[in-house]
Amino acid sequence: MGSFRQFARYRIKLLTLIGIAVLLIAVFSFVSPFFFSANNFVNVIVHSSILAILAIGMTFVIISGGLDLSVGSIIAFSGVLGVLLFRQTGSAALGLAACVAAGCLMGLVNGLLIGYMGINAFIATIATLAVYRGATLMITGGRTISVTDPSFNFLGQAQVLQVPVIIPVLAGLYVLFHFVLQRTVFGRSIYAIGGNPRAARVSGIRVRFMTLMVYALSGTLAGICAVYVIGRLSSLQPWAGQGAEFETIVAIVLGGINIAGGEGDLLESLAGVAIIAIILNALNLIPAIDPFYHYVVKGAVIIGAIAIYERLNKVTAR
Amino acid sequence: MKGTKRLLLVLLIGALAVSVAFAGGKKEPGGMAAEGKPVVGAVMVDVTNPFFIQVMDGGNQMAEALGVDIIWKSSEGRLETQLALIESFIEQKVDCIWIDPLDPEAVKPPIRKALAAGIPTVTGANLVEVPGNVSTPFPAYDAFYQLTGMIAAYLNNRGNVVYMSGIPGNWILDSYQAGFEDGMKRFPNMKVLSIQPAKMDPALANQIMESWLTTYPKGRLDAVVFTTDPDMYAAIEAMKNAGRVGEFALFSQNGDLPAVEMIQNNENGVKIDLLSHGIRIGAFNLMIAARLAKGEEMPEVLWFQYVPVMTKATWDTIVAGGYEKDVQKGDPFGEDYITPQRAQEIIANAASEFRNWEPPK
Repeated sequence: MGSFRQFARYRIKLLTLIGIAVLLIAVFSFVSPFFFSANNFVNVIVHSSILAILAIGMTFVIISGGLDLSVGSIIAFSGVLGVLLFRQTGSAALGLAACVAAGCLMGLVNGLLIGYMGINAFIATIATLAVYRGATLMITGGRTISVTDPSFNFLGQAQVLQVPVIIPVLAGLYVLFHFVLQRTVFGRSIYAIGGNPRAARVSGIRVRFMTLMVYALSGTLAGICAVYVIGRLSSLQPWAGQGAEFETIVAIVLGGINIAGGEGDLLESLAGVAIIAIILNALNLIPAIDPFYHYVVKGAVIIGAIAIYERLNKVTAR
Repeated sequence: MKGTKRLLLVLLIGALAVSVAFAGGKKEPGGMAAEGKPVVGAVMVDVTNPFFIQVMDGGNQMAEALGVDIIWKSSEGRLETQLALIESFIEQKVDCIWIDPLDPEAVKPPIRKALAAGIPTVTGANLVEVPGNVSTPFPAYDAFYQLTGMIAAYLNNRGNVVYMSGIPGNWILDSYQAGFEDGMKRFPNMKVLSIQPAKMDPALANQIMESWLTTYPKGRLDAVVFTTDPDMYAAIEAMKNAGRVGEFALFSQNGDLPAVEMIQNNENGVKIDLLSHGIRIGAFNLMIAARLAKGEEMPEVLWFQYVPVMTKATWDTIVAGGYEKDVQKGDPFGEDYITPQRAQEIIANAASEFRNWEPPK
């Protein structure tokens, strides 16, 4: 019991978030007879996959003291480059690799602007948001490009033993990056940079290089999202990912990540994503909620969840 | 210690609530129609745009007339959301799903899923070729192709025209433009002086009209063609400010009440408006969805038809000017024309137009 208490105290944030998620599941299960089913839980995961993948990169970025508002545009532009290469070469493998590589490259550009040129992360990534989106619209002319190749669309559409492929991929990404953040020098360095960049530099951490890597990671994950989005929609959408950055930030802030940097945990981000996903799914399933009220209900439930979380945080901190 | 206890209490309550919900949640076999009324799930592109509010009004009127329930959901302009909503409706086992697709290719996988689950589907405004799906596309290309014939006849096959297009990349709006451009090519003495995208933004439409008024002095322009009525209203304001309202013949699409009244009262130069109107679109699609929900079979393609609104005097003028229907892909017009009074009746009671509608043989 003593060790459980210690564990609970150490992981109070995460347990609180899990408790909120469980409460929401209970409430929505009571309100809608269609909520508590295996099929619907699969839907919840599939529908929130983009958010979940972006949350990994955004967690790293925010813990390091930064911000990346360009991830939505990176999804669109890396998708464009990947699809164009696929059409030129006929090779799905090359096209998919291009999506991910392009995302990484765009992330590196962000990292150079912020880490090496010292531009404020908010300004730099707002600018690249516009540039990448504009480039997408220029190349596509605002039109969607159909992609029907099953290899290219594998991540978005395939199933293994009736489970969408994205689910084990998501689980794998979270296991991998949780390990990186918690158990590697790279992960420890990110916390140090976010906590006190000057002290981190003085202690020998290559702050600029680490910043570059963090944004490259965020961009790479956005590139993976592009692969998933194209597969799921069987097309490249020029407006893909629009608004994704803000939803991602809301989810991980709900998960308790300190927007000032230096604190946070990937599992807490995942819990925040789960709460948002549950709320959005329930809004889709409850017919009584008029679409005009969706915005109000969404905001109210998020505020309610944060309020419970903050209250419990304060109480348990005493 | 105290905090840990409270936390454990919250988790315990949560676990109990889950158990109660699992044990006590009501599950209706056969989905949502247990009370007898068929349920249609409607996935709209957006519900904040005035056009879609009209669509919802028309759908609600028809739903009441035909005795079905309708659940409205908004995709908020996002394709990922649209797919998620369709999948949620499959989960809810509604009796029919009506979709206004953001992208006709991307919605095919969830439509196949719905059909495989025994739920019929209707896709409005677009041709979505999935076996078993009913599409109600707009004959947008043909509508504007035919409109150019009316414009040319009105101007005695000689004149200068400008065209205010929509959002590049939007299938319907691009089709209007393509129909307009191809239709105009038939008339060598009709010149298209400019095509500018107003992007369905009235503020931009106003600016474009101001530019045209500056560029084309009196006598240089004979007609202005609009993709949508709100753009036309904004442009009319620019004409009024420049003191040039009534100088040109105006042609548009939508059939909004203010535009129809302008035709009736011979105001502002508005001559012909193609009545589509969100309220008709909503009523038509809900009628199809309701009939599918009740187990009826429908052809896989049912073209939604526009109706030109004009006065009899305008009709006589264009007939005298040699207007002849020149059908390309399909006849876009349900009738040759209707008067503004008839248009007002239809807009006021959308259910009356389609209640006893039968598909073409």
